[in-house]
Amino acid sequence: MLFNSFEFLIFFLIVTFTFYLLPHRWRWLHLLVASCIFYMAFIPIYILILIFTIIVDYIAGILIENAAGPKRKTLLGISLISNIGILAVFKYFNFFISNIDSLGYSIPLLKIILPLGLSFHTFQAMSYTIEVYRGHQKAERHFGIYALYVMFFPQLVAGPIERPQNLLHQFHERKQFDAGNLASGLKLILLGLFKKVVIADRLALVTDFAFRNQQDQTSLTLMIALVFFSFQIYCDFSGYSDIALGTARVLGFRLMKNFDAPYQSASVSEFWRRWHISLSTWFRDYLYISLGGNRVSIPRWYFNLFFVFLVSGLWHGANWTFIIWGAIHGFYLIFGILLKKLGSRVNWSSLPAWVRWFYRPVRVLVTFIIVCFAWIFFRAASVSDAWLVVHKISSLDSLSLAEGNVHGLPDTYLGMPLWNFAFTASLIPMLLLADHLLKNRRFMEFFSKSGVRYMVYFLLIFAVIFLGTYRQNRFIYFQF
Amino acid sequence: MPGDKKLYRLLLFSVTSFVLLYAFSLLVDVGVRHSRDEGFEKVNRLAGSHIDPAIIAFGSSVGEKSFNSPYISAALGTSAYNACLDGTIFWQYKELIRYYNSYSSKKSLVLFFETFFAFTRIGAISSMERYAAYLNNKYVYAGLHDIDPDMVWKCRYIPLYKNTVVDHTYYEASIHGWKSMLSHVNDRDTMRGFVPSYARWFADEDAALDNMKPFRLTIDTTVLPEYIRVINELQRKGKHVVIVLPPACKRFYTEITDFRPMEGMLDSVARVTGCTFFDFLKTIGDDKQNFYNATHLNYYGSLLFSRQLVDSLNKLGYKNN
Repeated sequence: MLFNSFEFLIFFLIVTFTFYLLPHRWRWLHLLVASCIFYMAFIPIYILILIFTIIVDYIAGILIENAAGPKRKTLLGISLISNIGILAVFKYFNFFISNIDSLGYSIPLLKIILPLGLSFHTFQAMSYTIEVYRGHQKAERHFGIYALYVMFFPQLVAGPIERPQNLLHQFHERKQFDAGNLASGLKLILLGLFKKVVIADRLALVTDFAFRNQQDQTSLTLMIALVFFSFQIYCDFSGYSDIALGTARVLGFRLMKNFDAPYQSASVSEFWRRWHISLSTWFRDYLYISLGGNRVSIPRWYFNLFFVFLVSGLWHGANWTFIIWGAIHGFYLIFGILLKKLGSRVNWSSLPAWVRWFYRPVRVLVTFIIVCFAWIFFRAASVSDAWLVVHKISSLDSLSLAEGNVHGLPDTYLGMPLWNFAFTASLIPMLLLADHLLKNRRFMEFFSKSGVRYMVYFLLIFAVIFLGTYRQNRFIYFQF
Repeated sequence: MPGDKKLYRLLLFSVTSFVLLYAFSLLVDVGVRHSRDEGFEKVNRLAGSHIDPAIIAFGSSVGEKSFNSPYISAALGTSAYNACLDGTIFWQYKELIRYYNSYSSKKSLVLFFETFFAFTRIGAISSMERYAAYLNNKYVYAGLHDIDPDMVWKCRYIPLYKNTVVDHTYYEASIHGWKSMLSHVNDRDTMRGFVPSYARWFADEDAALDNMKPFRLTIDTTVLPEYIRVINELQRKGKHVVIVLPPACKRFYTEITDFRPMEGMLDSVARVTGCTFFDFLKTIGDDKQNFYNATHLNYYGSLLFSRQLVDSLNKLGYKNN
C-alpha cells in the first residue's frame, strides 16, 4: 500500500475517523491493527520478522532495565545481535555469498525478497534498547504500545527512524481532535505528494531513460540526468517523509523532521545535518559517539568518520556501489575538516566584500556538485556502470545541448517531449525557491496570513492530480 | 472557537477545490472528445457514433498501415473507413465493434485485420487516454473492464481518479480539441482513418530480425468464442464480415514465426461463422521495400495490397456496391 495510491487514501480516511471515534484505551490497538494491515499489504508473511524483533527487544528492554552491571551489556548485546542478525540474513547474506562465490566457491544464494523497510524498523528497534541501556528511556511495559512504536504505519517502511524519547510517550497521551493538526498534516501530505508524483516521478522518466541508455549518452546529457537524479531522490525521499509526518500529524503525533533543504548546504558535513536527519543522527548517537567520536586522536577521529560513512553506505544497500558511495562521503568529510583547518588561517575581514558575498553561494554550488558526483554510485546498478558514467562525464565528449535527442525521436529530449522536458527542468528551480522560502520566517508569517496560500494549495492539488506521474510507483527508499 | 473556524475553512476550501477541479476535468473531457489527434480521432468517431461507412476495417497497427481507405473508397466507389487502432488487439477493441454494430444502420462490409497476436489476451490497456473520455459509454467501459477491472472501475466511478491514470497525451488532445472547436476548423478526414507510413525498409530492421528469437504463435482459446460471438452479432445485423490476414515480410513468416496455426484458426472461424477469410500473408512479402518493418506495410505496400484486396472484394461481388 503506497502513500500515493487510492488504497492508502481510503485506508487513511478509515483509520483517522475510527481513531477519533474510539475511546483512548482502544486507540493503541486500533493503530496497531492498522499498522499490521498496512505492512501485510506488501508481503504478509514478513510480519513474523517484525513480531520476532518486537518480542526480543520488548523483553530485552525490561531485562536491561532490571539488570545491573555487566549483565546489562550482555542483554543489550543479545538484543543487538538478534536485530543485526536479521539484517544480516535478509539483507546482506546474498551479497556476502556472491562475493565469496566470485572467488571461485559455489555457495547457493538464499531465495528471499528483502522485507520492506527492514533497515528502518530494525534501527528504530535498536535505538530503543540502546536508550534503555543508557538510561535515557524507561523500558516500555505495555507490549502493545511497544509494538506500535516499532510498527507505527506512517513511518514503518521508510522512516523517519524515530527515537523512543520522542515517540513512545506520545502513544500514551490522550489525543483530542485538533483542526490545526488536521490542516497542518494535510498540508504536509499535499507537499509530500507534490514532491513525489509531480517532481520525483517526472524527473525519473528522464533519469531512467538516460541511465538505461547510458552508453548512448554524452557527457552533458549524463550531467543533466545526474542533476535530475539528485533532485529525484531528494523529492522522492523527502516527499515520503513529508507524507509520513503529515499522516502522523493528522492523528495527533509529531515525528522528527527528516530533511531541511539539504541542497542549500555549504559543506558536506552540513549536508548530512540536513539530509536524512533521522539516520545521520542515529549513526552519530549510536555508532560515531560509541567509537569515541572526535574525542580521540586525529587519525582515529578520521577513521571513525570514514567507518561510520562506510557503514552508512552499507545500510543503504548490499552492493559495492553503496559502499563506495559511503566511502566517498567519508572522504569528503575528512577532506572538509582539513580544508576548514586551512580556512581558519585566512583573515576573512581582509578579503574584498564581493569575495565574502560570493563565498557561501560558491560553497553551496561546490557541495552540490560533489554530492552529485557521489550519487553516480548510488544510482548505478553496478560499479562498472558507475565507472562508465564517470568516464563519460569526465571525457567531456560533447557539451552540445542538441545531443539529447539520442534516439532520433523528433521533438524529444532525453526520451521526453521537449515541452515536457522544459517543464520538468523548471520544477528544480521552483523547488529550490520553495525550500528557500519555507525557511524564511518573515515570508512564512506573511504567507500563513495571506489569501494567496489558498491559491498555492489549490495549485498543488491541481498539479498532484493533473500533472502527477503515477506509473513510477515505489518510493526509492523502500528498498532499504 | 478558532478550531471550528479552521475546520470550517478547511471544509470550504476542500469543497470549492473539488468543484473547480471536477469542472476542469469535465472541460478536459470535452476537449478530448473533439480531438483529431492520431488515435483519439478514431475513438471519438466510433464512440461518438459518427462513422457508418459501407466498408469498415478493425484491427491493430498492421491494419491501420495496410487498409488504404482513400484508395479502396475510390476503387470501389463507396465509402470506406480504417478504424484500426495501433497497439490495440481484438480483446481490447471488441466492445467498440459491438458499439459500432449497435448504432450502424447499414448492411456494411466489416473487415477484421488480424496478425500474429490476434488471439492473445492482454492484461494491460493500451492507450487508455483514447478511451478515458468515454467511460460512461457502456460498451467502452465493458471492453476496458475486461482487461483491468480495478483500474477501469475507479476511473469511471471515483471523481478525478481518471486524471491520475492518463498521461500528457490526454491533455494535449484536449487542448487540440478545444482549439479546433473554438477556431471552427473544417473537419475533413481525407485519409479516412488510414495512417500511411512513407518510410522504406528501416536501416536497422535486418539486424533486428537477425536478433529476434523465433517464437510460436499463442492462441488463447478463451478469445476465440468472443471472436465468433462478435462476428455472429455483426452478421445478425446484416453485415458481411471478412477476416483479412494482411501481408508480412517473408523473413518474418519463414524464420521468426509459423503462421500456419493462425491461418488454420482463421479459416476455421470463417467456416464456422460463414464469413469470408482472405489470406494475403505471403502475397507481397518477397519485396521488403513494401514494408518499413517486418509486419507493417509502408504506403507503397499498402497500395499494392489494397489493389489485391479490391480485386478479392470484386470477386466476392462487391464491385461498386
